[in-house]
Amino acid sequence: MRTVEGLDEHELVHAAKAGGEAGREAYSELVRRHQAWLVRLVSQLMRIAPTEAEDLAQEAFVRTYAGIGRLPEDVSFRGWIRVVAMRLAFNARRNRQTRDRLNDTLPPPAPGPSGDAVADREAIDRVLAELSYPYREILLLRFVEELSIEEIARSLDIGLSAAKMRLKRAREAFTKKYDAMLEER
Amino acid sequence: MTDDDERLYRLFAPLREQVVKVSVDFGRRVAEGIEHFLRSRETRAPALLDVFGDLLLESINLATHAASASDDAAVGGDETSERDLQTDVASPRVPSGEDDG
Repeated sequence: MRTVEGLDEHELVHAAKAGGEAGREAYSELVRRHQAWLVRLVSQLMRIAPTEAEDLAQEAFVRTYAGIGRLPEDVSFRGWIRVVAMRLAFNARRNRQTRDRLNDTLPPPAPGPSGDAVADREAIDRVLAELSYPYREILLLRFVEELSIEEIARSLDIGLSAAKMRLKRAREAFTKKYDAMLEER
Repeated sequence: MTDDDERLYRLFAPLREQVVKVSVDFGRRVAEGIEHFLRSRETRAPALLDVFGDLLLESINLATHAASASDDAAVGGDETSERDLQTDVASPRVPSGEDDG
């Protein structure tokens, strides 16, 4: 008998849909395979430390499990959970903004990476922090998640031309701020 | 890919390569969340049906037969957390055929 580690993505989703103990086991394997990149995405979207992003990523996995019976055969698990996590991140960010306004406090600082190879990441992160959330989101989907413009449009549930326009503006805004930062150095 | 795209792709490399170490109990906490969800589904559904079942069916019938009724009126405000859970994952407008893993 094959263990869940030997199953491919499609087989795991199929097993998870069937439910029961085997389904739970299959879903645990899906969680194990996708947890790291999902935590990274949430962390980068929200500009919070990965440890803080874990709660939201866990919530995304629970919600995805709740609806896995309706996951169409032609939709990838990765694409599905990405959308769930993005929606949760958007809502969490909105709630955090409201809370911050009420408490009259500053937003939490960006995660502080350490080590020699992270200077570039700090610079990119600083510029991303200055962009609006939709711009940051679309840049991360394009240049970190490496989605095509069609995939981005579907993930964000917007039209293709709207996605192209948003990406163009986001790219311009990023480049302008990044170049300005380089000049200041 | 345009030159601008290529430049940004290069600039974003550190973010793509960022290695995230997830807590060792990450999977266990997801499993607990699922357990909680399943338990709440099991305990809530019969209670709702017992108390509001007839009323619910009646309102569905009314809504179905009312020519002018909007879709929103069909079921009413059954704002359960399970429903909330499923709302977020209901629309599979997500990329298909991606490389997984």
